[in-house]
Amino acid sequence: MPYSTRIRWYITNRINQFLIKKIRNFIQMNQHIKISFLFLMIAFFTGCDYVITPLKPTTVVTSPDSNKVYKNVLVEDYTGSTCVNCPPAGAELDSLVATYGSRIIPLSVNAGNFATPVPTYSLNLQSAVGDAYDAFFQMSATGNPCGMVNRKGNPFSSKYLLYTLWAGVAQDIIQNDTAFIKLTLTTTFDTTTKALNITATSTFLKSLSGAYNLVVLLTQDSIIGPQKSGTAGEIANYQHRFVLRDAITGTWGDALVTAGSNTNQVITKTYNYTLSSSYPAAGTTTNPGNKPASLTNFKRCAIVAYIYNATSGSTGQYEVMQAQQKKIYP
Amino acid sequence: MKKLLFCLGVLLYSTSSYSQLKDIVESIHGNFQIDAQYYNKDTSIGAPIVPQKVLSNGFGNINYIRGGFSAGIRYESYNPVMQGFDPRYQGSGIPYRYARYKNAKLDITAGNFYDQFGSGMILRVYEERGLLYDNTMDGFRAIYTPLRGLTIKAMIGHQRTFFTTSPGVVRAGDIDLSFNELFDTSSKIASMKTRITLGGSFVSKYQASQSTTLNEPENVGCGGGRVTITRGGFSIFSEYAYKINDPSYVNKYSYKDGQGAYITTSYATNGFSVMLAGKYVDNMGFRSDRDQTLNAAMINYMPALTKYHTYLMATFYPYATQPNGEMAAQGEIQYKFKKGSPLGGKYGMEVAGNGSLAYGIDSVNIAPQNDTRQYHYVVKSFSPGQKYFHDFNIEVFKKFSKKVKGTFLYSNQFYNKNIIVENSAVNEYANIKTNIFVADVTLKYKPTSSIRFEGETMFTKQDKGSWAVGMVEWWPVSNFYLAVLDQYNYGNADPTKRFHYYLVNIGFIRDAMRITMSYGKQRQGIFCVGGVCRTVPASDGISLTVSTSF
Repeated sequence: MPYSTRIRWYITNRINQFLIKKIRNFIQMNQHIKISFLFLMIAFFTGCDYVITPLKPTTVVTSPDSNKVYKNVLVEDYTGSTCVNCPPAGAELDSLVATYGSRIIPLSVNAGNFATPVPTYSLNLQSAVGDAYDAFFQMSATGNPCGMVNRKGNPFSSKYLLYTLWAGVAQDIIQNDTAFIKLTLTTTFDTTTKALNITATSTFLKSLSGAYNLVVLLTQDSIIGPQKSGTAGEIANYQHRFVLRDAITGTWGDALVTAGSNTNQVITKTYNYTLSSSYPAAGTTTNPGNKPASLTNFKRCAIVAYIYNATSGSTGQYEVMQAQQKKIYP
Repeated sequence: MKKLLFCLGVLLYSTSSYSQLKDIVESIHGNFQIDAQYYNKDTSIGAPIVPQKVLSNGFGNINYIRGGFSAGIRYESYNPVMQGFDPRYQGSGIPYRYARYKNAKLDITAGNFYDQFGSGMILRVYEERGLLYDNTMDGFRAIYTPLRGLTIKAMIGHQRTFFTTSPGVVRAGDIDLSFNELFDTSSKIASMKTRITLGGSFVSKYQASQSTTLNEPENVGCGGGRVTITRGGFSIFSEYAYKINDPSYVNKYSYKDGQGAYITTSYATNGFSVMLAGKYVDNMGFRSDRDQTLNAAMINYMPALTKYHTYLMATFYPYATQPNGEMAAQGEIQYKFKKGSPLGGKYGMEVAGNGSLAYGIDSVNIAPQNDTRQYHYVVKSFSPGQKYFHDFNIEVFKKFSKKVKGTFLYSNQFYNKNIIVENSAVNEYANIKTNIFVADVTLKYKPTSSIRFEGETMFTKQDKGSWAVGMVEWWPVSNFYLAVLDQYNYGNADPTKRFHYYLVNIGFIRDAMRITMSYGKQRQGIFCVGGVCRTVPASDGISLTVSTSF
């Protein structure tokens, strides 16, 4: 080692030793510093939970008793074909249906900029009613993917939920909420004329105050078309599930009661709707699953109906009280 | 509403009593700002219909100080919030109010406060009103200075999320030790040229778990230490942080621990300065709500190691730190050629060179069947992974005469759109490579009058192709300006989308009051953070900003 380097090393070493000694002495002398560092050490060891087994055991869900009335859960997935993060949200909706069966009423709302058809992703799954819900609840404006579960939340701030939160809220409703309204759907469908007749019977199981509206929607399941993904790029034959297609009532539905209900009050509403000649949708070679009307596509269409709290100014406004779905063609 | 009336009452009382109490009241001050925009539908650029036509953001801060006591409020109102901002800012309210008392030893705050530990990698609570970013803490903070050179901070509270607070409670402590100041002023160490500061921080958040499938840690801690050494014009700062398992929406519920390291060193002397900085980040996103994304409920902040540009084309493809994993470095050198030197000329010249690089970390995914600990990935080595961004630029500041001065910039940038915009592992978009030239010349033709010309161009073959910008900004008097700007997408591969984005801007400034009005078009953008994307719509309309302070 050159002589100059040895001198430099010696001086540096001495300075370091001097500084370390001074710091050590000072910390040893000063109670404030000792207590402060002790405080940090205690905070470190008490402020952390270290998890060894991240996964919980799989939830065992008991089948619903067909003699009881349950409150179902409307889970809305706001999505779009060019939303790279949306496929996991769709998978979560599938998973909820697989877990809770008929207690979950799924609805995929293709709306916002990521649902606007562009080259490659030209399949248009938007609907006027979906656009209206998206704009009103500020879903895509906040950020996709997202959704709502029974539209729970403050009507004056946000009902926005990331998809990873849907399961917790849905489970809470399923386990703890009581159904105050029973909703029964009966349908008839003529495959030739495409005339659809719907009878929705709403029974108030207890006296409720406020206003309640009934909304009836048309959905189509398993439309095959392109979808953008952050992990797989373009998925040409993505299965777009539970797609909202149209509103059979108006966007915000028809009033069942406007100033409270009586116990066991029954309200029956009948709707006649004709699927348009190009509906479910005109098919193209690039959208192989979106073929012209066929029995297969009719079997994928369903009525989704929900009753929500329409009491203006109430903290529970827009919250879904009951939901049901029924296929139009078995 | 009652709270608002009460606060206004207090304010009016304070104001009316001001003249009587002026011998004891030290100050009452504040500021207001209102931004509003009228939106036109413009299908050519994709500007949507805005049913309300006019949207606005506004706020007013009022602070009262009397001796060691201070208190204040901020009223905010969004009617509704302007396009491009998070619509969860809805309505009006007072999300910020505080009372604070401090003396020589103790500084205590009840209510809202902002703070930062070290570089912010462990905790940074701040606001950026232009971006509507506000993660203020709502709780208590105490700052204790038991002796000169030693500062101890402790705080507890919830963070603001829009007009509510985050469900997670944040507990935080920090110690800052200025080594030289601890000693008697007469000692050699106190007067040493070398100054050493040590610091240590710890933050723990508690949030109840609501997951149906995961055993989520409810208490998550993040801690670290830092050191700063300065000597004359030289300084070095380094910080290391460690975070335990913190599954969150942003890290895809990974239970892997997080680490971050940051080092910056600089040397400055007369007319010359040099700076080098480096950063390593692995899974360091830290929020007081594990299920939040975008800009909500962030406890920490990791600065992007990139040059802060002000010119439009240089900021066209901006970079932001990728908290899930990043290695980055930046270097800058500045030299001022003296007056009278061959390059300096009569008035001198300043040259700055800056380079920044950002890469992902070298990691590999774990197959789900083998991922019993839910780490999702492992870091293979301490070496760069996929390239995210670079920016190499050189900037020259030159005064040509008493009336004419100019700034000239060349920047070469690389932008990985797949990662930065969509955080997507799929290479859907080509990496964007740009060459940017800027010339900015100001002619000061009278002591209070000037005219500024700005010309910019960005050459690129990717994305929307090349752009050009022309701007003239005229200050006929010192408190009024008129600016005309055009951004032209002349290189768009689709000739039908070669749009002009015009903007006319008028501003009037008088003392602390500033009124600006502009008319023009703004481009559409996509904003993605942590697995959620939001479109910032194109717009066409008139905007107005009024601000003042007292």
